[in-house]
Amino acid sequence: MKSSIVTTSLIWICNIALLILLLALFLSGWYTIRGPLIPDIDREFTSSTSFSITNSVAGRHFIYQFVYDADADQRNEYHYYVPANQIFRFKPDDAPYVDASVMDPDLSESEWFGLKSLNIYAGKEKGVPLLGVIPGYNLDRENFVKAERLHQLFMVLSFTFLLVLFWFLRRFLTGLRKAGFFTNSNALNLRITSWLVFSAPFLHYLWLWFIEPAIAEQIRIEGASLAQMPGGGFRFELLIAGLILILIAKAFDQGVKLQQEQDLTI
Amino acid sequence: MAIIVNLDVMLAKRKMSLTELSEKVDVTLSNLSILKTGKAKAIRFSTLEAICEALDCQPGDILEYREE
Repeated sequence: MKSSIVTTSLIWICNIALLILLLALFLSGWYTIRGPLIPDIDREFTSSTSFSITNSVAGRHFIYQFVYDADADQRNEYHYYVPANQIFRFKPDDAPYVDASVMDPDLSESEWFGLKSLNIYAGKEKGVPLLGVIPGYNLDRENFVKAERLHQLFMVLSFTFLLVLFWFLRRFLTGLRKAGFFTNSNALNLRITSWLVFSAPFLHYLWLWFIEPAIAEQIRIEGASLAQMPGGGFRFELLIAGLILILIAKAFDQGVKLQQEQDLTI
Repeated sequence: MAIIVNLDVMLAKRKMSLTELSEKVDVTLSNLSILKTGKAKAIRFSTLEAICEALDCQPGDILEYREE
């Protein structure tokens, strides 16, 4: 009875995850087809002279900036690619200093669900050291659109992969509830799930290897050391989880064999 | 399989149906069918004892070894 409640809860968690993933897949697919969120360049500027849009995909930020030069009556576009996995660290002695403002928490507003935020800076603080810096790569419009499309495609593929993974996990859990524990179909579903988890870090690494060099070349900043190599590295935690799942699936196969022998013992 | 189950032969000799045997030995009809058709992987001593008692025979009358 207790295990049945746990299984039912896990199935429901899978259901919710599948629903969220379907929605995410639809949205990422939509953005992939539609392209990056580049606004209409004929937009009229009234109170502000510039605006920017940040689109974050898998820890990589795509920043689109639109600046209106009133003197020249000219509109300029800037495109930046900011890989958040590249952080340059400065020693406190070598760190560049910048001027900063202090936010007034009493006057500033923030609203999570409505995504509204208003920051009011009250005082000035001079000389804040930049101990960690994430560089931004200036890209031309064509490369920017191409890079963001590729990253959006990565999201589509990731969500599809997760959808398949959760689908087999759900099938395994429903199998446990309906058809008994050590059955051939349960063993197969667990085996597929385990191999999917095991293959995930390799696919992730392959993708990063495929996409990274096309976008950002390696740069060096004087006096700073690169804290993390581009590409985000290999996801060892996923590999270990996959290996553990494969071992469990192997044990499950043995369980199925024992169960079949038990069933055929009269 | 090298071990042959001659349950049907013994049932015919004793003029007993499988249903009747299943009631006597308290083993389900489907399990006895598995045994009779040779699909079983193992047989418990308690089951063998009950069958021998019901059919008034020896284990050797039910099980036979044949070289493949």
